[in-house]
Amino acid sequence: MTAQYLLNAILTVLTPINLLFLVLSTTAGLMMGVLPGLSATMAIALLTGLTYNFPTQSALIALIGVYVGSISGGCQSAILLNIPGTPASAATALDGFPIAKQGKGGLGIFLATTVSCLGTIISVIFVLTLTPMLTSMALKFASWEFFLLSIFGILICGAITAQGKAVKGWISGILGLLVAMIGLDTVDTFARFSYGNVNMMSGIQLIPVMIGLFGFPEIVKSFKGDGASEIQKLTKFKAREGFKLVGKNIGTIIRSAFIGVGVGIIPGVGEDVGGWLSYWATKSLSSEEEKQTFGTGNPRGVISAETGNNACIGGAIIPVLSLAVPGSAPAAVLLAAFLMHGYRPGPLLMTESPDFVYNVGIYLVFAAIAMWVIALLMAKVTVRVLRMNKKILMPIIYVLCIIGSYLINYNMFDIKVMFAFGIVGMFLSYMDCPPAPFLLGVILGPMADSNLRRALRLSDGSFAPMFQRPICIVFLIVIAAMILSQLGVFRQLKKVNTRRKTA
Amino acid sequence: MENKTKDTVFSIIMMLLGGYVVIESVRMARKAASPPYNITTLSVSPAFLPVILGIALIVFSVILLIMSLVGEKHPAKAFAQHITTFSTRFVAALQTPGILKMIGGVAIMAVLTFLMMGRIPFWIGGTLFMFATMLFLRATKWWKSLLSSIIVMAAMVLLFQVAFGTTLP
Repeated sequence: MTAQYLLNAILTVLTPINLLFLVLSTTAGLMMGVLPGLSATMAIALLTGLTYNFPTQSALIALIGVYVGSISGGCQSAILLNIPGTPASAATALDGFPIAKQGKGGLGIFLATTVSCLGTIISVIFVLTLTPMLTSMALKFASWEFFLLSIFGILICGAITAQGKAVKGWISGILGLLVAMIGLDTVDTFARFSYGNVNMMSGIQLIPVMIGLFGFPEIVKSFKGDGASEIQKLTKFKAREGFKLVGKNIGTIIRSAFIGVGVGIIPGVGEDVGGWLSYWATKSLSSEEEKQTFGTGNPRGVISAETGNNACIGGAIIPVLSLAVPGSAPAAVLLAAFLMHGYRPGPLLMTESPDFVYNVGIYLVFAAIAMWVIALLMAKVTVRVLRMNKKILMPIIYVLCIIGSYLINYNMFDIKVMFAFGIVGMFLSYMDCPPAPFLLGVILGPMADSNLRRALRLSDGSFAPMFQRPICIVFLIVIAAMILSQLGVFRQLKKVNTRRKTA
Repeated sequence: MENKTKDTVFSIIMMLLGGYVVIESVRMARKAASPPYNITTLSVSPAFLPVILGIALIVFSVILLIMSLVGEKHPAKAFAQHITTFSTRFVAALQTPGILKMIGGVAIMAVLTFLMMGRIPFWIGGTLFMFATMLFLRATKWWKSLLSSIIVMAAMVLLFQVAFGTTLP
């Protein structure tokens, strides 16, 4: 029966009209992903309305195409412009931009696109085969685990991005968490940091914050003529060299795909965390000598980040299909689109529409392949767009940033929020403080807050249950070890021990 | 500018912000304890996480400040010197042509964001902004700037308003 479902799905996607939808939607997704400020969430949200009158399968293909395209497209501007097109590509910029600065922009994009395709395909294997097992694992997470998971994510991101000064990254993460506190809280609808402003009471939207933090400083720096926002060349490269690098790092790709799927399956934790965690794992497992090369143009940095964020797509779809709980923000919009097209994702899906899971899996594979071909063909067009005189390009990007901020809620206030967070981004950039943990704080803040409050309510304000849950204990040990190691406590202890031994 | 100088100033600003967050959160906790909320236990109050975050911000800022002063023979002197250096260099930087251009650009962006949006149609405001910024930055000849602004805005309207059926600001 499974083979029949898979075959039917392949035949559906291979019809000329569906192939056309696949190509058009993937291209649209890539363009949206490439342009800073236009996110995957926005791309799917825009397309959902457009697909209302489409045949159901064509609509599904188009939505999945735009999802894969937009997540993958973000790497191109991250590599060539040092501005992640989407938050998912923030980790890619760390090594991608230095690679482009070394005159290997073409190779960087080839690597990122190829591993993005591989990451998505590997994640499909999980969607199709390991869904029940992984779902039961994710179900073991309760409020305490979700709270600790969000804190863990921010601490890791802070430690990775602060270039040796983790404290600065953590401060940035705390600032992001504080921004997430603005508005009515989810448990008691109590207004926090709103100062009586109705717009503030509804909370700060993620997209304007993201655009402000990442896009605004780059635009303003270009006015000065700063080299940091210079668009790098898409240099020629030998495909054989690219494939060799991919082959050499197959272990990294598989590990990053596993991490990406694992992160994706946890509700609320999206592609950006998948990219960061994969990057962190690769860096941590490298030799001391190689660790120094991360952030200076190590291809393994790009490979791990891009595999991780794209593998998250499949991971994020697993809870959508099995629990109707989105694994990430774009997956949340995708869930709404599935409902709009008459599907009811959840525990009954396999009984009501058993072919649906296989359709989604096959559409993801075809979307990944289409993305690989189109992204490589389109790279020259992308570069032409991004290679324009930056004094002409940047005012255009600012207008796009305004549209991007506005379209999420059709609210003028969000444009002002984007500007305000742009100034915050400038301040953080001037102080050499990484903006990525800030953004992650804004993303994970609601999850941390609502789960901590819920857990404390259930335990009458006691923290004792947190220390009685095995997964929580693991998280607490890892968090404590990370803080102590980053503050150099272990190094000091080692020194003291050595001194004692020598004495 | 030396990293330690930046870290010192950054930690002071963050400490002040952390202090403000704690004070504001305590006010919040008091408000939550009164009707209609009547939440008297801090750990289940909506102010709990903000209090923790405020304290964490202060603690990490103190750690950063200590790290920026470690190895100095006279930490108090070094602290004062960092503050003076930062102020002097910041004022000096404000007078350089590059920074003045950045400030001018931000001012044009602020005019579009706060004065034009919602008051005049987006296509007019957007075109004027692009044209004005390109002129200010001397990006290209004035007529090329005008032409590219109009073409780009037309393309944006076509893509978002006509193709995607969305409403622009």
